[in-house]
Amino acid sequence: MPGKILCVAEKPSISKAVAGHLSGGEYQTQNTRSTYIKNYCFSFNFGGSWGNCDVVMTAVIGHLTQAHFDEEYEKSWNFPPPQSLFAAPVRVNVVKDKEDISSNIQAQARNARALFIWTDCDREGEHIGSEVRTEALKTNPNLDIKRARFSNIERAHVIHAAKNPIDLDDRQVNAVAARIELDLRIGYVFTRWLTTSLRPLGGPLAIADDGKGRVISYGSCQFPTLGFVVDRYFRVKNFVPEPFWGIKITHRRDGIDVMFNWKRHHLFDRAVVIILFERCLSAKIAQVTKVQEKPTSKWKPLPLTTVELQKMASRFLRMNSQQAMSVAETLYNKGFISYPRTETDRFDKGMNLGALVDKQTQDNRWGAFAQNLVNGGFHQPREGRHDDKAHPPIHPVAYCAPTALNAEEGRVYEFITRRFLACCSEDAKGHATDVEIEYGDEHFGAHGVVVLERNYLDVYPYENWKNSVTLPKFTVGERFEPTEAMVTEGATTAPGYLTEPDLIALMDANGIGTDATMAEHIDKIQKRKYVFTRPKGASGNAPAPGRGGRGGGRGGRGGAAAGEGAGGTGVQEFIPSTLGVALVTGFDGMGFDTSLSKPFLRKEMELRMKDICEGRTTRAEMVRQNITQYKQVFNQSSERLDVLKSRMSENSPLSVFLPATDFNDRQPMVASDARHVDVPSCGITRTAQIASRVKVVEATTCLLIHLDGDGDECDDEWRSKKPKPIEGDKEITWEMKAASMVTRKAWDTTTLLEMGPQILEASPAIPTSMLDPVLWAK
Amino acid sequence: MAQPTPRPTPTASSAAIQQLTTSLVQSGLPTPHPSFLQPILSSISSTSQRTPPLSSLHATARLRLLASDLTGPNILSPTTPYFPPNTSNVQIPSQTLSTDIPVQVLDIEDLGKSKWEQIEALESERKGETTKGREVIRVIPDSSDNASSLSTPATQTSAAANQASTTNIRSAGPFRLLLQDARGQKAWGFELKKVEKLGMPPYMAIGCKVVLKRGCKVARGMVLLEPATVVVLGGKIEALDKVWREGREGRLRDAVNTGTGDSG
Repeated sequence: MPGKILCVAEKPSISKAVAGHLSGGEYQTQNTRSTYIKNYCFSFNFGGSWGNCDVVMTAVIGHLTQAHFDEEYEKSWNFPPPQSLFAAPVRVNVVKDKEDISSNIQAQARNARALFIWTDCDREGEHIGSEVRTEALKTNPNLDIKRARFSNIERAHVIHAAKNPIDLDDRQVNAVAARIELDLRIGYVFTRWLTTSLRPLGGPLAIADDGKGRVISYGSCQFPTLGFVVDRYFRVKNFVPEPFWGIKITHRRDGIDVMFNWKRHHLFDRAVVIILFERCLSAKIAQVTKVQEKPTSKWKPLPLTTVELQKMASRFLRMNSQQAMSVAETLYNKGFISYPRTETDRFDKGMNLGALVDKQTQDNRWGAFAQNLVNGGFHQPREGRHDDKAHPPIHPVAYCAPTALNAEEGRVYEFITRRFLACCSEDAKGHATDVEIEYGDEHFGAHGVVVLERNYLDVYPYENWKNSVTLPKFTVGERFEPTEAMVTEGATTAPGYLTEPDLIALMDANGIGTDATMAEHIDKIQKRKYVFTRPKGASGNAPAPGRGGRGGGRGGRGGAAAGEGAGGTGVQEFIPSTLGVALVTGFDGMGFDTSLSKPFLRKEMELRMKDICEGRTTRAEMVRQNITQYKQVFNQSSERLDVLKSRMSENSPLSVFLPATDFNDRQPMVASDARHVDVPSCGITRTAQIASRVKVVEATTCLLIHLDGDGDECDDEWRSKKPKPIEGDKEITWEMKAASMVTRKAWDTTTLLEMGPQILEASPAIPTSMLDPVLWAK
Repeated sequence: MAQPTPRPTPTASSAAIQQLTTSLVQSGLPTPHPSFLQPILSSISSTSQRTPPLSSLHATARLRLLASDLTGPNILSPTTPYFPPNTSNVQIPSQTLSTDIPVQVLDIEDLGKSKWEQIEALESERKGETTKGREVIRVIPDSSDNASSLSTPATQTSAAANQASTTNIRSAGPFRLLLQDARGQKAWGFELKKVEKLGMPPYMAIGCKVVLKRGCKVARGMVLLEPATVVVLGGKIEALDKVWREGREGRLRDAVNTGTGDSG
């Protein structure tokens, strides 16, 4: 039975592209009353029971409707009181400026046989689809409603989607409807309450820059996002550097200086380290306890998700997450890449990845690499653990010459393509050697890697893996006298302010927003002047300047990032405004269980949405539950408003919308050279008495340790003491922990013996209250 | 610990004391003072007609001994070995103990972590949060331990509840411990090799009893602790342990704040 089928996409570019594919490029274009929307008319054989049908393909522009309160609630922010909005009726209407779009759908639906919804396949898309359905059913209650499932607008994929329509998923529709209602109620209640409560404080809190009344907005994602920034700000601000000490052994063999790292890495007690060091020296002879040679590899990256794209864009593509997403959106609308909002990091086994690789062979940058994959070098990508069941990982669907794109689009397309080709290639292969020795009571290890096959690294310059020293031959049981032993000294460094990739990772881990909305929330808190950004510390990519220079410690972190490969510039770091700090500390200071600045309440909301999607709860139940929770928080917050107000008035009202810290204020990393233990006449080589081979090294040579970001297993030990890094962003975790700027410190045994007692007594780690004077007198 | 009266009325036989002492010493405990055992033997024998089995007397004595302050009067035998005078002499690079010395732990420090890191961990524990990777997890307060300090939990996330156990991830150390012998002499010990039962309270309690075995190394006044020469008996001194735990964050903060001004 033929008839007309109405197709509606989420945006005009998609309707045009789909119409082009289904009609083979032959369609008639009709104007509508909306200047943005065209109707494309053609015929298409949908197959099966549908057969050959006339098609009108049109579009909406995002959501058609809006939730709002009745007029009586819009007049004043004070009355009815804000909390009445927890229960006030919520109306849903077509937005005024979208009435032309909705009447077009109603008109086209009147004589149609079926409605095919072509909105994006995610929760929002499902909800937009339901809005289209509502409009269409108004004029034609007998319409058959179907939905096309697609994740990119490559031709074959689109035709397949057209011929295999499914039903609209009402669970997803309900989940979004619940969220919209909750965001409206909660946002209105708290924003009105905050604003009317804080305006009386006067100054910029009463009047905004544009002369209108100031609005202090609240959003259930904004606040936890702000909370992360403020938490980190305090961690940086309150940080106190502490010294630590370590032992390093060097042995020269076959003309190679082999560095053995202490298995204890470092200890926060000088006396103990010196005692252990002395025991090494008195033992004189080290013994090889383990020699292990084995193949090693650096894993190719996982298939690309939205969150990963955003993080990598901040780090390597000189754009923030918001920009990256809008560029990716453009590339998707043009049909070059798959849908860029996805949580999935595994490719479906049925996908013909080889064909996609083949499309890239014509490029002069990575074409040869792609050709090599086509010629048999192809390996199935690794499989991550995430699957949103809606979209594949982000990948190129068509080849696009660089000339067809602007600079930003070019960079993002290049990244997505290189990432995809890297996924389809092989892990990099290398050969690792580990040698462990026992010296005194202490254990030390040397590690060497030789990279044998670069494989995916050849197409993926965003990562690197370098050869380390090739270790000379050592045999288990062999004994030798190390050439050099030294005590190293360093200090912990403050974590950096939160960077965008880090913030995204935190939001992701804590369920704040979705891959689709995170960038918006970050943008929002900047617009509200709750936070400011600045380019991350330009200070020192070189491991050179070291102590004495303020901020030398930070150079270490810059070095780590730079070691990862291309660039690393353009990462922004966030600093809260005085207002942002006051809001967070204000709510935290109220002392009840779930501060609005914490991620817990919002995470709960995201989890309940998932529950609706998976049929475990209903829209009504979710709304009821969430309102109960937020009502409780509201009541508690209102009672403790004084706390918030006092936090606000701790600062001059003029500074409220300024960064909470001076942008040029860098945390002094290492207190000063006062920390050095005075070695008399350092730099002069003395003959050591106990171990004749101990060499005195000049006191101020700096070297970086723990920063060989090459990702092979030599880091495992160090990593095991630190929080587990999350796949793919190791260096962030490293930054958070004190990477270490170590100053070599020379000790010969004479000095050690002379200074022994002083060192022990002066050791800051021994609380003097604990010392028995009699005991330590000698 | 009530001090036994010089002449308790029903005096336990010296044979009974001897038997119990032997049993305790054989199980690795230091030799107790006869007056320490006296009330155990007499109180038990006064309440019941039969003499209780040695095993239960042993258990009672052991428990009380491990909970005592070893420096108290009439706890350990007067012949109990103590640190020789040169133990804490930093001029002596290396020496060994010539007898087994019972000691108790008065303080412990984690040398593998910066104080600031420890402070941050204590702080988030206090706030009822912990982190798993990047995820901030709310810890529901234990019903027993710190429920009183927190207001009624308003809304609890289910995901958080099952993660509560991750709070007390045991630190790997190594640790430095302040050790005290029966005469009240103190010396620092350093965990040269991992000793299983030593660790941050609550894993180990302050007042924990340890026997340093003959042959135990001492370097520049620092007792080197390793499984071969250390026997951890366990136990705690309730009062000290409580004060130590409550004051830990404060002590760390003081040390961090004054430590930075230190000129090495």
